[in-house]
Amino acid sequence: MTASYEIIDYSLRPAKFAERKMLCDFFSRLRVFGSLESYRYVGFGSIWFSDCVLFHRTLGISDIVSIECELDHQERFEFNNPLRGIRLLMGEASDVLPTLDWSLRSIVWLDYDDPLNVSILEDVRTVASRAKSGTAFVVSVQAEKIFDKRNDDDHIHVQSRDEFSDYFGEGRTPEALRQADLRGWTLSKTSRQIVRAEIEEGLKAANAARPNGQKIEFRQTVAFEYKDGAKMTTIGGVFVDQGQAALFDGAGLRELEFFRDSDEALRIHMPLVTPHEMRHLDRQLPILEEVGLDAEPIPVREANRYAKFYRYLPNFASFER
Amino acid sequence: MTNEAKHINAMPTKAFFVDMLVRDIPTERAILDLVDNCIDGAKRLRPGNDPDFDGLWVKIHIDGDRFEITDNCGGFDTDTAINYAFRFGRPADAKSTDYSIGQFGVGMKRALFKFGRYFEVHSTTEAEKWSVEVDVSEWEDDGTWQFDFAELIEDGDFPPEERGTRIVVDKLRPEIANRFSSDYFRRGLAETIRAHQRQFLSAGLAIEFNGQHLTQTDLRVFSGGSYSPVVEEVTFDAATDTPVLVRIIAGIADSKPSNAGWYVVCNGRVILSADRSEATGWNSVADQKDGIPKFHNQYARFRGIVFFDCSSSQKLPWNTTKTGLDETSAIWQSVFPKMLDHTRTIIKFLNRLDEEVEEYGKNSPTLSALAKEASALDVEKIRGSKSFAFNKNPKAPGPKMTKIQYSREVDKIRVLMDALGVGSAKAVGETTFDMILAEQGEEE
Repeated sequence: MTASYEIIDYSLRPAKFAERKMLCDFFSRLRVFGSLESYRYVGFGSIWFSDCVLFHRTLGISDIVSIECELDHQERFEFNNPLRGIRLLMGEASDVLPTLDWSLRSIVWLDYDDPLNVSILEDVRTVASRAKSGTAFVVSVQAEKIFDKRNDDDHIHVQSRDEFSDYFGEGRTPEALRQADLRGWTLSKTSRQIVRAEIEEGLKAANAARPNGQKIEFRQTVAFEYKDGAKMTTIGGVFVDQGQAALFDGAGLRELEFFRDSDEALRIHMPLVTPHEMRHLDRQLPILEEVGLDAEPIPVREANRYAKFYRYLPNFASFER
Repeated sequence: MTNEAKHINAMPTKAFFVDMLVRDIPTERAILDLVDNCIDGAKRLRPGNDPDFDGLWVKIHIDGDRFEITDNCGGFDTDTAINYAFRFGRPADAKSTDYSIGQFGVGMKRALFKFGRYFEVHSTTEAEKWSVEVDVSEWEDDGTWQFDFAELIEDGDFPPEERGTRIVVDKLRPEIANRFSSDYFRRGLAETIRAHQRQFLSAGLAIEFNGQHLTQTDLRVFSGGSYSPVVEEVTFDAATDTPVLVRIIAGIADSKPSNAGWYVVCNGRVILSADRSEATGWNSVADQKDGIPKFHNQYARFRGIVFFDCSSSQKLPWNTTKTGLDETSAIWQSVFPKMLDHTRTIIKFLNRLDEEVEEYGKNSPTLSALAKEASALDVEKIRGSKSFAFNKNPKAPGPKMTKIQYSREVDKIRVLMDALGVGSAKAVGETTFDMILAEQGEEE
């Protein structure tokens, strides 16, 4: 009912900000597949275009596609487009994605505001069955509650395996799906598993016609969950041709401290510390294992969170212009 | 020029034959055929129209490397193996199982060749134990059209727990391996087996799929108090020794769009499941005065089931692969109009209900009477003809309600959401209504 950009200023969501910066670190290591300048970025830039601008500035990507479905507000989006290099394509992702040129190595971030639904999974499959080797693919969904909205008058909150299977279909429904898997933080894990399975299925279909040795695999690289407002979760990785597996292994992605290739995600916690406390902690960072962290009088939990995420935190300041 | 010793060779090559054989059967169907063969074994062990299969099981294992199906349903003897099971096509004098579904026509070979390039079949009966192992590439290169026994014992005495059949296929064809390794394929297949064999599952047969027990899918309709589904029982060919018994049940159940529609069951096998297509009369021509509309979610409570049973399976309205409907069957043609009548009756009721729900919301008198009086009954247990009945004068559980619908600008709604501290447009409507009502001093 409301376009999400009208409610939230994306630039003020600190956990999301940190996630963007970490993704940036991840994408920068794709160089092993080809120069980053030759990559195309595909995302949902909304009205802030934060992702588009960050990846352009830090990675040098200048071929940028931002998909936007709020057709009524096209003028405002055009007005806010900060870079000549960003092509704004108006329409639903499901209509736009198949029309893009997938022979280009791409970085694709489908950053939805909605919880998992069938149309999201279809978009995931579209990308998975078309992507070229070296393409990075990241999907974010909201993970508070899943709704089956097929019936306008009666939105069903999906809370049981039956309801899930009824909405998503039996094929997409894990054999053992407990009610606990559909609520709380566990729903984040479930959402990532379902997206991951959809990627694998899309690959299977496309790989059926590819010769052995050229089949493409999805190598999961990141998994995040956080809560700026609603709980959000993200899963991402790289499509790698079997012949280029060594490139992936040599890209140093495993060395990233936020590298996650399993069902467990990195939960992003914003530390609650004052600027003065930050400077106190900064002088001890990066941490020396043998010394540890002298946090006094900062609560240890906050200090540790700061030490974990400091490189990715936004710096807040208000300024007049 | 003599005509002797000059023949034109028309012998098919085996490779060509195998390729043709597997071409037009979907993978899922090939697997269902093999499950049917196990069930036919169970029917031979426990004959009759209403058997108890307790203690009998079928185990299926499928992954990217291997296919395996095992049962303890009595096995089949060397005579069947030598003369029927491995022959391509059905000899005219073949024996058949009463009420059978799969018959050793081409089902088993077709499935084996379709899946892979190597297979084994092992079977044990009371007196015999035998096995066949075939490497398809070697067999194709060898000139004779025969398979050899790898093991053969014809005078044993094997205990009941050893009797059964085991089929293994490996060296899977790449396209099959690709599907067998897919979670989606396996889950969908488990669901298909569950739906198609529900009657045998409810008769006590255990089917295990990759280590998981399949449970029967529920087919229930509401019955009780003043509510009753319609049941119509008819017999065709009553005077012959192979009468066809038909039982039609139509009624209402939980509102689940994916389960609504007609189910057609032949000798226990579900050949159509939750069908809402023209085949079962939906969406019949709109210009007919009382045609049946296209299926819509307001009919999500509709359930119709038609059972056909006959000891001679070729009389049933299914196609040759026993996986779908043969709409030209004479028996189907005479049952079809009856189904239409019942569909119309239920649809009329559901249209009324829809209007009532529009009016009362969740407090619909009919729905609350239904919840109070009726319970969901398994359709297998519903016997004896009766007509559709429902509570015609249900008591409203509360005052009469009407839904208000209107539209306002989104920005203005958001202003009120903020001001009233509520989270949805609906809540804005309800809260403002209550406020004005209170202000007018008309509150109860």
